[in-house]
Amino acid sequence: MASGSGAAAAAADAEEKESGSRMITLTSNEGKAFVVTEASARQSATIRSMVDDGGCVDKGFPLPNVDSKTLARVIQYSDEHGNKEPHTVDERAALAKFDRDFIAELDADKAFLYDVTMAANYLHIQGLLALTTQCVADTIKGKTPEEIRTAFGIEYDLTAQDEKEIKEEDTHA
Amino acid sequence: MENSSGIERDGWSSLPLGFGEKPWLVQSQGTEALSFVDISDRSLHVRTIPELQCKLCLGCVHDGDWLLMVDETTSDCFLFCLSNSSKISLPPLREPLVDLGACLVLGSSLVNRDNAVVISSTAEPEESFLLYCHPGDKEWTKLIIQLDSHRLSGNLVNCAGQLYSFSTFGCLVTLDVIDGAAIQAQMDFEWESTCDPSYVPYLVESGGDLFLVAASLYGWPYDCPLNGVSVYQLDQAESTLKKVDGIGADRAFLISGHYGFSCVAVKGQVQGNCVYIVWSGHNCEIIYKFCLDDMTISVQPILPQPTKDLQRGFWSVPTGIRAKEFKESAPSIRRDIEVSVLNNFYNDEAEHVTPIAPWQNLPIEMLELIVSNLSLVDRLRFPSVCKEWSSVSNPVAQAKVWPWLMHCIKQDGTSKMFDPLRSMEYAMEVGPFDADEWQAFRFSKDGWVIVSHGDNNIIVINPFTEEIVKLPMFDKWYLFNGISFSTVPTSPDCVFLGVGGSPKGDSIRVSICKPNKRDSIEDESEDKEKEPEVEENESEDEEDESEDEEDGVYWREFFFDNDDVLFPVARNNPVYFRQEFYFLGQKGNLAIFNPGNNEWRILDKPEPIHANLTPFDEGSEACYLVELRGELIAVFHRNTNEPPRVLKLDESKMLWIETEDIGGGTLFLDYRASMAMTSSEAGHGNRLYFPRFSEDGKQAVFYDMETKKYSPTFYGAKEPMNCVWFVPKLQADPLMSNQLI
Repeated sequence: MASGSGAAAAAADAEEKESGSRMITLTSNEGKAFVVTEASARQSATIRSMVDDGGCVDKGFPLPNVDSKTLARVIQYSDEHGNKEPHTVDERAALAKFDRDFIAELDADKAFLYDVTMAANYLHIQGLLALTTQCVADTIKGKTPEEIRTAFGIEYDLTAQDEKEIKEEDTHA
Repeated sequence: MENSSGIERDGWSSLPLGFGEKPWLVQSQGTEALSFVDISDRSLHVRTIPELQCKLCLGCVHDGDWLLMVDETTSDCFLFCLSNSSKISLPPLREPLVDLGACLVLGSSLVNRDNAVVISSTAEPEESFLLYCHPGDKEWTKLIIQLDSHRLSGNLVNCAGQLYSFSTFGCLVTLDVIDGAAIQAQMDFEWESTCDPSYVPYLVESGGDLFLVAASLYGWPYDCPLNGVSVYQLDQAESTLKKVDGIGADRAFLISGHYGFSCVAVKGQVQGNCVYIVWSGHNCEIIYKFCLDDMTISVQPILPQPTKDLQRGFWSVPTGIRAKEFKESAPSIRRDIEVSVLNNFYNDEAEHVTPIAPWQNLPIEMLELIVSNLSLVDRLRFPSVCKEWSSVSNPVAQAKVWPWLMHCIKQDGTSKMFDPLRSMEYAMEVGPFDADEWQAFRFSKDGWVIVSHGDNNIIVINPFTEEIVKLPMFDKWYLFNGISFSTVPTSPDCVFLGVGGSPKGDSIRVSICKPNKRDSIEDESEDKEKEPEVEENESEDEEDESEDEEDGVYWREFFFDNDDVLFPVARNNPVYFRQEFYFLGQKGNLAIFNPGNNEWRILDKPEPIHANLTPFDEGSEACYLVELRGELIAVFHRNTNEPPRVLKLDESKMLWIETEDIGGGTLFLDYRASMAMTSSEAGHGNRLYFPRFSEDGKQAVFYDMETKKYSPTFYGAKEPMNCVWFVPKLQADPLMSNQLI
């Protein structure tokens, strides 16, 4: 979608901008283009500021840190949250259910959860970031450090000296 | 669901549906009807069986459906088979019924004239005996058992052809009846007893092995609540009763009166590795379930009225579902099961290989975001995951603390922390304990927990910082009703106090100890103490002090006679308040011990709220004393779903004032340690928390003073056998030599 020049076009553009019905192209690091509504894209504070700064809406936004699979999933979230403003109790409940289902899928695949979390951080999508970090926190809850490492596939890299310092920090904090 | 017209017909057809297929509780109270309780849903089914009307049932003695019945007025005695209504007459039972304990049938079939019926005496008669007869005999033969000063306690079990009973002084007794006359009694079994001094013993035969279940009592052995069980297995080769951690996931023990049966665990009916005991509660008959998997207790009502000894319900456990067919001994079966569970777990892990993602590379601001969603223990562990995660600064300091329930799930100190307000549970090790040693939490205050372990060892530990203060040995430690200490245990001024007394309340014993008090030189930098008897297994923390012997550290005992006012000591912790220890007695009056001048005084006011309490009432009602905002609050509670009574001390009039509002405070109650929180997280105020959680372990049990209800429910909740309320404290306590008291 291209915006023309001239007053009428500018007015239409402004109107579109307000209503958020412009379409914006996001390009993954693999070069794949995703066309989303501006309302959806504005879930990302990063994109929002670029759009508001009069950035290259026409050319689309390349996202060199996000792969296609992750971007598709992130867009799924921002579509749901950006395109539908929940007004009724039912709508809010539906959105909450969407979030639960969305994070449950990610929870089952910790590698993908990581990618989505990093993308949410990079794109500054506050709601998604809160959702994923809460999920990480929930995974950590009640686990020993060893269990946490297993859950996230983290290698143990602390020396005995490190352990000692950590312990001291705890007790004399 | 059930056809109520079933009552019309006599004989087996009138038995409740499912009788004979699973355990049932059968009760005949000498009235018209028999009560049957289905163990799976605790539903009550009342039936009339003409032969049994107005007779007492003394036990379910053979094959799960032979009842020993007696007519209280005529002394007529017979065995009655519920499933086919057959009846075998026995000689009249002329002994006082309270003198009679468990009954056994020796031999396989009751029809055989050679078989014998044996009844053990209880601890009631002066002289212990067995009653012995063959069906058809005119009279019982009374065989006197010579046990010196011991008496039989009413148990009688046949294990691999040998009769066993248990004596009142805690000894296993073997009994042999040869030709209806000769009796031998042996008592040379060793018993590695680790239970409280007041307990009820039960013998259970399971898979050819003999087990002793010691159910510990909250008070003196009358109808007071039970607060735990220990299970021992007889090792024939070594003539020893050895403590076992469990009885096996495949079986449960069902106990009532003097009888205990082993039964196959069936999902939805009987849970494996559990001991069920039928007991009289305050306003109903209750069933305790002691789960040995997680060392918890839960209570459910089972009959609408509490019943007396002679009118108990008895377990009918059909022979087919008795846990008999196992060839291996129970603990080894359990071990096998554990191993296979672990194997499964391991396989599951291997199948779901966690995909590798560079989680350790999360940017610091995201780590901080994650930490902000974590609670205290999780924050504490967070830096130990990996180097990058350890860079998050000070994740612990901001976390808010309130009492948590620390409970032990294994002997070796493997414990869990339950956060009652957030309903989260964490695993943690509390130790240094020997896995073979018994250990029990006794008290806690300011992040320190008093733990007794092994034979008379006692320490104070901060489980988070692993600081330890050792107290001198004291052989009467376990008999204390309450324990407390004054100030931080590392402080030189810290006074430890234990209290005990006679059930009547005419004499009090106060024992105090100041482990850090030294008259001579200043202490070294070490902030822990050492008793003269050094133990090798705890070298890690104290290696530099092994020569540091002090003679001045010991327990001092004070005895006080209460001539005018009786003060039966309650099982609760004394409260250190205004430099004195305050005691709430069972009657509801207060006493004070001053550790400065070692003086004891019982206050005239507030007047006791249970002025007419007798020693027989000991433990029937729990009471707790806490300090909240400089005021003393007493809570009285019976072990039922009745609302607790909350009383505030009005110091101007020295009166207990019943209150329904504690100003938004929260109380955490337990006989080991009770504590109060002035203001808690929104929504938790005016609540009384008990050391219990819902069966799924996800909700803490509390009484809400505003709605006057228990949440989620009082009955069915799990209470750990070994637990204590405890406020996590992560900072080490410096040695305070100039502590102001």
